[in-house]
Amino acid sequence: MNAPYSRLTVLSVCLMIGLGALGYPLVNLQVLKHDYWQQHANDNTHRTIAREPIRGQILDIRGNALAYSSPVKTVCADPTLLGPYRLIVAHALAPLLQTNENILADHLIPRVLSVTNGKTNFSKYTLLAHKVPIDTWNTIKDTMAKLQLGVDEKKIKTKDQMFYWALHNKAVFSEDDQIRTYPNHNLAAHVVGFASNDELQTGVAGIEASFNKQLSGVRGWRTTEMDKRQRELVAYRDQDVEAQDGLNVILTLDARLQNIAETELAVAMNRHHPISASCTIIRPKTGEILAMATLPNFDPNHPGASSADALRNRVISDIAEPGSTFKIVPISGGLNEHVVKLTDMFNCEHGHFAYAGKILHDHKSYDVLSVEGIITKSSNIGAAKVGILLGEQQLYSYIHRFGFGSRTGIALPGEVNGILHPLAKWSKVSIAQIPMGQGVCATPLQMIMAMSAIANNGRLMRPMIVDRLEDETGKVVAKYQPQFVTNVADSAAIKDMIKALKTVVTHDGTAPSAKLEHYTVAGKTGTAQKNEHGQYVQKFFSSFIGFFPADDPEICISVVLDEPHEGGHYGGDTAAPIFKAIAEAAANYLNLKPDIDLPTASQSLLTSAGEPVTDHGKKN
Amino acid sequence: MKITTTILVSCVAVLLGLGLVMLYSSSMNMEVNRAAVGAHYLILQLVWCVLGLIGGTIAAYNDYRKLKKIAPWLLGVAAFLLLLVFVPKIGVGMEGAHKGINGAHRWIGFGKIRYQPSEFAKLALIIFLAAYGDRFQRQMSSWKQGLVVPGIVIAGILGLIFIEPDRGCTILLAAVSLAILIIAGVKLRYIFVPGLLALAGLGVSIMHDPMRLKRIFAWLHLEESKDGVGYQTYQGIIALGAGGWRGLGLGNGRQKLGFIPEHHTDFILPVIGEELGLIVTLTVVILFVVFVWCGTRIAKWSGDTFGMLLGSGLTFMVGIQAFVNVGVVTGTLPNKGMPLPFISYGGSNLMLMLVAVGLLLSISRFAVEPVKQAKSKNPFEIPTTELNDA
Repeated sequence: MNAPYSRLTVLSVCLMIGLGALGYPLVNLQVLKHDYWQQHANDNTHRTIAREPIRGQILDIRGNALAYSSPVKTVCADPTLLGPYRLIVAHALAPLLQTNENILADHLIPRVLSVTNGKTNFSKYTLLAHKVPIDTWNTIKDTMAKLQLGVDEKKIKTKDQMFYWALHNKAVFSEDDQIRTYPNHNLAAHVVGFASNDELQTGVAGIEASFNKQLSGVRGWRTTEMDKRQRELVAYRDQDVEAQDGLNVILTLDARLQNIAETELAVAMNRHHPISASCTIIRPKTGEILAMATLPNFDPNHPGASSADALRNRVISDIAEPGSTFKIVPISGGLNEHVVKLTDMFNCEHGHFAYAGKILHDHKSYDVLSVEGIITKSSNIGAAKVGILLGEQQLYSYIHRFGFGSRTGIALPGEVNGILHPLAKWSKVSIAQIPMGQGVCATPLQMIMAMSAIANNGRLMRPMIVDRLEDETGKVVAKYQPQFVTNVADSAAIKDMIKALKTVVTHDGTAPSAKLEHYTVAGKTGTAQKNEHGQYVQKFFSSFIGFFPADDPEICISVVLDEPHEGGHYGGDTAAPIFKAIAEAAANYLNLKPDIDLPTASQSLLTSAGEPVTDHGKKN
Repeated sequence: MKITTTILVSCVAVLLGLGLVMLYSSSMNMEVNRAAVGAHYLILQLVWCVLGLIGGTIAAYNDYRKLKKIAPWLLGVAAFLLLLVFVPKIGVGMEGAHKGINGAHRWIGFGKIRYQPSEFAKLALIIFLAAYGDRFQRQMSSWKQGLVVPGIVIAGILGLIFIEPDRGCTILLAAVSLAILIIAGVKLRYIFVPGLLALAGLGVSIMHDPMRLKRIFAWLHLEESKDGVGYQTYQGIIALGAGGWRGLGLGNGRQKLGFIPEHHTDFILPVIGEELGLIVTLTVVILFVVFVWCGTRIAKWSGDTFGMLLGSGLTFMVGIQAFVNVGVVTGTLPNKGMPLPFISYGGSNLMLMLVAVGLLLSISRFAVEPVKQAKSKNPFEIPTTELNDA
């Protein structure tokens, strides 16, 4: 009976060898292929989670929010968890997501991703709605948790309990997102601009674009590990860098003034039906822009709903021949270079002045006008003669010095240079045309900056649109200072210029309707004929730019109407009354100190028009 | 013999201790029906462990030869219990964690206490076959006594377990039964034909069971089926591989956090491998080899044929179970649910294992020390001197 023992030994040795041999796969997996499997293990749990910063706000100078971001949810669903209850879920969620029940039900049909080894893989993700407010999302969560499925869920099998639990709690889930809100809708839309509606919220226009980097903040991240159900294993958290929220941009803009400007522009749009109307209010001493309005405008909450024309900030992007408002440049130049005095008399040729083979016209026939009178009456011929006296070289230098032909450098995207031809390209008649605002093109912003330079005693400032940047706690990160650009003329010349500009709003001037009851106004009208294909046509670009109180200017306002169709076309008839309305409301709001106590006080200014005449004009 | 039993008991103690520690480590973060498990499984396992130790002690202190007489009765009780799982209200259906094979009847129980009668059946069948081999030891080489009669008994019990269904247990018990019969002296040529038939039957059964086929496919092409049938094995391998030779440290395993299904029962070795590394997994394998070696020595030197057959049957039961489990978790064998003896969570199995160890100790008490032989002999050579003692 050797058999049992030998057999036992053989079998047992076989088993021991078999067991021992399993040591090899263990060594193979745990040591030889350790790195490979380690990588797979890391893929299971290691996660890098982006921590999104909240985009900064855009505020006006008084802290009114013009744009802010708030957290919202992107609602998603896992259709594979719904089982046969797709329609019930669609019915319950459709009103909350404000969609059609049938469309929603279609979204909840599991989509086939791939078929591997005869096994169908369904997509576990379908997007139901973007930008869902937090409150709505909470309601959706509640609705899903309490959803009646027509089954007594207390009397079901353990296995099915998991299914119902997942259906109630996991089938519909959300992802974080944020939404950009412009609470004032159209107000200052061109300045504020808008941001793209995706997760990145990239600024597309306006301050949103030019300050995109500062508004965006810095994305943080967290490298950590998660279990199978994507719950974080906090103990294994590695790096955790908090997101840096975007900075708040505080504009120099005042929402109230902006509103005043936009309201009055709307009146102008109704009265004159121009293609567009725009208004800029600026503080001449600093270059701070208090309001920058353009109609038609748009609602940055839905920029796509407006035409491309409405999206354009015409104050900085559109150029036009400025017309008579431009006369302030050659006349200031003439006064500064002492080629003319305010009292010098020019022959205005009764409205027909032949020069270099062309005939220049005035809108009315004038005989002899002083330099002051040229401004008062807005004589093209007079201005041309001053320009001719000044000479090409000097005229060009003054135009350049006033900031024309180059960008003002405002912190908004889309600003253009305007057109100022170099001297070499000037024609014979340029010297006569340019002083009256033809043959040069400028943006409304360049025009008001030039006028502000006069208001600011000859000091041209860079326009300021952003006052400061603050972090989310209100700490000032960057404070912008007014920037002086250049001196356009000395104060004596400026003083004379202002004196002349004051006469514009008198009864003798072109814009008596811009006269204010309590403030002396200095300003200039502009009525530029539009040039289409080299021909001047009966379309006008009407404007009025004025500042007050004239001797210590607080604000400078420009009103520009592009092609007024009804109620006249002269700047004095169209833009000036709008200026007046805006100026009165703005002065009221800013509580400016009146410089006229009695209505009669302004009468004395009229006498300055009647001084002796020296006929410089005839020398040319 | 004293040294052998000491080594055997030490092996079991180390495995048991490691098992309890690892059970706590792997199950404490679990959630069942959204309730945290915490120490719940550990406490349950401890209760069964104590019951098993008591059972093992009783078995060790009693004469195993008493079992010879009651062996048929034990088998009868086992069969009865196996039938009982099909009785409504006493038989308990599968828990949610085992979804996919819903409808299996493996447990009997009242309220919270549950027992898997197939575990008891393993023991009863081994005892019965050992007793049978002892009773008919001289006829074992005959066709009828050696194969047909025990074959029918084995087929009956295995059939009951098979229709539960519990195929893993069926295959294990078939292998152990075969080993006992071979050792008992059944002629190999008699076994060859039915064995071939059984293998063919198994093959046909697998061919007609898509789940089995998929598991075979997953075993052969693990990378392709890692998101499907091969998921469990794949994740287990990730855990082992991630552990390296030193492991991530006790409690630091990541794969137990929902990635490996059944990580506290059949797939506890990958958790050990991930947390404690190759050092411990290899130690576990070596301890089982040592266990088989000790068990074989006890069986060999047992005082009678019954002891020898019983001892080898019990040893093989533990050894094969360990072999299959380690083979499965390393991807060496196709996936078949089988607990790792002494370590995996599962009260019925743990209790059986500890009683089996008790029985081995009982056998060793009555074993006859062989006369010391000159060493350096070929260990595979038949030790003729010992045979005379038997």
